[in-house]
Amino acid sequence: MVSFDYERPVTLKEAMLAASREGAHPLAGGTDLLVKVRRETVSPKLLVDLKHIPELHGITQDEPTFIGATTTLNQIADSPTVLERFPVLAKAAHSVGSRQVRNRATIGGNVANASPAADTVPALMVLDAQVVLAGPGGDTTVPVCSFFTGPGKTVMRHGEIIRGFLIPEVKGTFSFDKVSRRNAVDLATASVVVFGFVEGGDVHLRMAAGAVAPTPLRLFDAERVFDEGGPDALVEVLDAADAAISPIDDIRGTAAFRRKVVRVLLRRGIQTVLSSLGGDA
Amino acid sequence: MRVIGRPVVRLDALDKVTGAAKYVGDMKFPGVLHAAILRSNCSHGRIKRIDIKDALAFPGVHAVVTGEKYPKPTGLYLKDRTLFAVDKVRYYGEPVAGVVAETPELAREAARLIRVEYEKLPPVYDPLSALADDAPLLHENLGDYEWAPVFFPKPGTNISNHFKLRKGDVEQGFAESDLIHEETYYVPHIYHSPLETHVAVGYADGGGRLTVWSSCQSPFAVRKFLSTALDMPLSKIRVITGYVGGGFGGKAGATIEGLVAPLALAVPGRHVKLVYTREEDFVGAYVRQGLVARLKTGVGKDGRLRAQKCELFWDAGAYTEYGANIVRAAGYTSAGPYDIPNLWTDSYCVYTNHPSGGPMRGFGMPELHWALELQMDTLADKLGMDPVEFRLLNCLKDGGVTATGEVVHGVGLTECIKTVAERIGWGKKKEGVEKGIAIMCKAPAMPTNASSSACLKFNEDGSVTLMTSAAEIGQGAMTALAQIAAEELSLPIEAVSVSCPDTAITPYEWQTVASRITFSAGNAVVLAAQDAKRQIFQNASYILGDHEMELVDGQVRVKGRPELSVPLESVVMGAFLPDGSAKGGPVFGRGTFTPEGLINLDPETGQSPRPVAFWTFGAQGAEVSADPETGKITVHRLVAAFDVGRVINPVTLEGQVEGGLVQGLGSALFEEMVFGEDGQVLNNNYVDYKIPTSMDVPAIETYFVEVAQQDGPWGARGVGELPMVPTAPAIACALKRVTGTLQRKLPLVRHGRD
Amino acid sequence: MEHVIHLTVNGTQVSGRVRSDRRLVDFLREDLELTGTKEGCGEGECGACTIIMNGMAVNSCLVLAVEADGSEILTVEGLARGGELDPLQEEFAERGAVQCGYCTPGMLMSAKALLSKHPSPTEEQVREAIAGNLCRCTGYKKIVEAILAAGGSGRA
Repeated sequence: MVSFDYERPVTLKEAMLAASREGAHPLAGGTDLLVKVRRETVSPKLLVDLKHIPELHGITQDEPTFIGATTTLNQIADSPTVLERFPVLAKAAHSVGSRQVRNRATIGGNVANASPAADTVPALMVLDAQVVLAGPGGDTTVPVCSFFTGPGKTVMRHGEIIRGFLIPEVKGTFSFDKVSRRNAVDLATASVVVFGFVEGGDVHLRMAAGAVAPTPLRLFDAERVFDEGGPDALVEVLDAADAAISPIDDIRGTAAFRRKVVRVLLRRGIQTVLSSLGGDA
Repeated sequence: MRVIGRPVVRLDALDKVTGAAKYVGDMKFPGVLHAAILRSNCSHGRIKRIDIKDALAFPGVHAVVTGEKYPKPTGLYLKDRTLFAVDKVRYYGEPVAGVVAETPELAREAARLIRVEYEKLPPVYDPLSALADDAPLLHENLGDYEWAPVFFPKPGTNISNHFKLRKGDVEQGFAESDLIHEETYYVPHIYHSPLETHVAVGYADGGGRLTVWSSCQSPFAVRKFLSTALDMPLSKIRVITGYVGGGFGGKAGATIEGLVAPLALAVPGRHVKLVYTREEDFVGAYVRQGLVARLKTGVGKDGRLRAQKCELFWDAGAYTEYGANIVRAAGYTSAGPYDIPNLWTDSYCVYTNHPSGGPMRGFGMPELHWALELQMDTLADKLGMDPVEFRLLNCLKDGGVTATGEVVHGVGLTECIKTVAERIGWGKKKEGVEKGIAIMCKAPAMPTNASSSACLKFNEDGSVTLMTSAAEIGQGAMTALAQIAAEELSLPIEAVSVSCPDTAITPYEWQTVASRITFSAGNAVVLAAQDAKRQIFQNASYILGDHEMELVDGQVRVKGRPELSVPLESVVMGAFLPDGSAKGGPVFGRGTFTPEGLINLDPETGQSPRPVAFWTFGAQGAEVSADPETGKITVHRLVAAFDVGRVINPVTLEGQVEGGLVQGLGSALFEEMVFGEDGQVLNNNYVDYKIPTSMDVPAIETYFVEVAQQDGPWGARGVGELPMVPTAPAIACALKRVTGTLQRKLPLVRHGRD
Repeated sequence: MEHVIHLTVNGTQVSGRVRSDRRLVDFLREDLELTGTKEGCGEGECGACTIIMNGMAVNSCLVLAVEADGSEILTVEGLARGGELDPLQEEFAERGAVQCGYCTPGMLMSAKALLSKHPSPTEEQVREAIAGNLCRCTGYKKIVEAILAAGGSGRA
């Protein structure tokens, strides 16, 4: 473990100042970051602890809903607001790690870590969530769908801090499914989220997948195919998803397996969502 | 029975639930220094140069040790390894140098400053390739090594042991068979994964004496190993073992101790502590070796097994000092729990550039039974016979004959199979769920003279201290042995305390392995208690006169005349007569046990009428379903029955069997060490080496059959390793009925991997 | 950089000087000599180092000591009160939920955090609560039974 300094700002202003220093790295729950520090894949000079900044924490009742970056995954999984408005996010948050990990791990950290397999990200993607970034030039917002640029990489610049996430109101129904080796405390070999809603009398879908590309992916093409072809175009929807993903062989599974299960999970998700919306696939 | 068979609370339970229990890593040593090990990043290479200059000059560093100082090969059965690599490295992760420094961080940093230059040699990673004529040789000097005479290395090849078994006429047997099935089965390397990684502390005093505190299963084997490698007499080496935070075989033999000892000798007067990181633990001791098993089995239309040809190719890794015996054990057990008249077995211990294979719970039996039980299930299918009926027909029964020609008696296997079949509802349909069964046998694989000993020291108040060198590795040895002592001495369990192993104080024990402690150390405790009783009666006779006596509820009584008695505590320090004179003395019982009459296997035929101390038999059933599209496997139930001879403690026994089943479940579903092209373990962490969690565990039922082991303590025989053995094949046999295909490679959850 | 930290551990106020990179597990085990808390992996995967921090179970290998400044910590050593064992400790001992004992402290702390929130949990809740605590010896069955017994009795 490489030696580093630690600061605990209590205002966002102090935090941004500290985070802009050379070698500074924001610290939220630390459940990913401290593992990376231990493995020396990250060697920060300064950790800026964001957990004591009140405005980065908590879930508001506003529209859009704001979830502070340092809200822990267990707080999200147990939040009456999230359970009522975005049950899929509660479910996704719950599927991360163990209870101990979720008591520390934060939504901001899970996103900033930019793992292709991050469980909360496909959920945030179908919710059309926006990342609120605090930076030297003030706040900016970036859709979660365009936040990631590669494994461990995002559009965030040094000195920026994730304030939280804005999630617009949605009415519809969700499905979250994940294939992993073990029943608990395991990374996704592949995960899929499907959100279905009715607009103008038509059913629309939003879909996203994890662990099947360098970043979690919103499956826009597949959504368009569904919009055009409806439930009858299921095979084409799955083909479009298949064309969008670029899975790799790794220790958790092969690319071929991932392609196969993404189709299965998507098909099941679509069918679940459609049947609860009263249609069928 | 007042104590035997009762759910006595573990002697170590309160110490452990309060967090007070001190494991080796928790012990405090004044002025302790810390060690770090530099491991090779090359799986096969000649060491051209090691430059330790920068490491030695690094602030806080006290010593750096490399292999050249200790070139003497050592090992348990075959002396094929050194403490640190000498001249060559043979696996990725092999210790090349050790650093002693003020803190663990400084030691690790300094270790990185050691520069090693390798001349790379071609590696070989699978046993079949390693047997090819042009395969790179791992041990060019194999012929110069020392080995026990029951092993058969082939110098000039990568074979460190070729075990042969020839029984009956196998070709004739095939000729008489109506159906012959040939198949190959695969078992990957797996990792023991004790929650406590290996940890040891060494201390060399000013007088050339060495003390090692180690979380280990085999303090005496460690002492012997170090004595050879360090060229020190046994009397100058002391090994102390406290609670062990899980062993499962990985802490048997000697591993980390061989690193900490030379480092301690380099800084006399200072304690040196070495704690493996989890990553290091994957390659720093033993792993369970891989196996490729080819079976050809013939059966008659009547369903009776006629003949079997068995070739076992063990991926035994870089050093096989311990693994050579696994190959032998699997060889002489190659008929499994079946009575097969004609057998031909070749079991090869093959060097590869993988980490060292070694003992793991089951000692070759889980790997062997993976192949055997899938083969038997396939034969039953091909015959159109019910798999349970097939096993009942062919399994060993009283008077049956094992692979080595031994006639067995007191076999409770049939009852185990029937119990499992009944409890799992064999033959009853359940929507979406299928059942599978597997059976097994195992004997302790140990030298024919592997001994145990026990001392019972009475205290002034009539309580007693039991001293053995059986390690408390979680299995409950401490409690079971205390129960045996309490029963024999008619004492309440609270009156017995048990000490942990210390080779300078506690008496000899071969090793805490092979499911042999309850049997072997238990017998020694019985004998020690009988010896103590003789002394107690002698002391009492000075007061009560010469009579036949008995010990009941803390009273020494003349048999048949209970009014003639003295309290036990009044005679444990000797007898004090009315005139004030003393006779006799403090009671100190001793007992030693060596299973007598074990006969080595014939080197050509592998036959022996009694090669092992005992056999334990058992059966398991599994209920499994699977998602046809994602392949997700769900194990719903595991039902097990083992013939343990006699239950000493039902709670610790159940717990041990439940844990073994779940370890077996892990090996069935997820566990596999995955190696990169350079021979590096890619999943040397809990992120990617998955063992079962509380959410992965099915409903578990355990049943015990008690056909007494005639020479066991109260009829008990060993069971610790057994539940690990039939779990994977039982699950695979059930899965075959779900999916219609038999998966012959472990683990079953593959996510698309070949 | 060094920091002075003040926290409450098992009901007692303690202070210490720690470097930024000192982990809470090391502070507890080495500085406070509370070695009941174990380390099994250093990556939050095994749960052996589980403690209760401000009422929640956390892996003390993934918390910096300096992050724990101002917090209230309960370790296995603080479970028994006034010489009385916690019902969880009694049930673990009685029901054979302990074997090698290395996972036991962390397991007890996860169970304690659960029972503090849900005094009478279901089996599913118990299994979920300890999913982050690996045990290689017991197969979990007796651990689950012990936690249910400690909870079901309403004593915890």
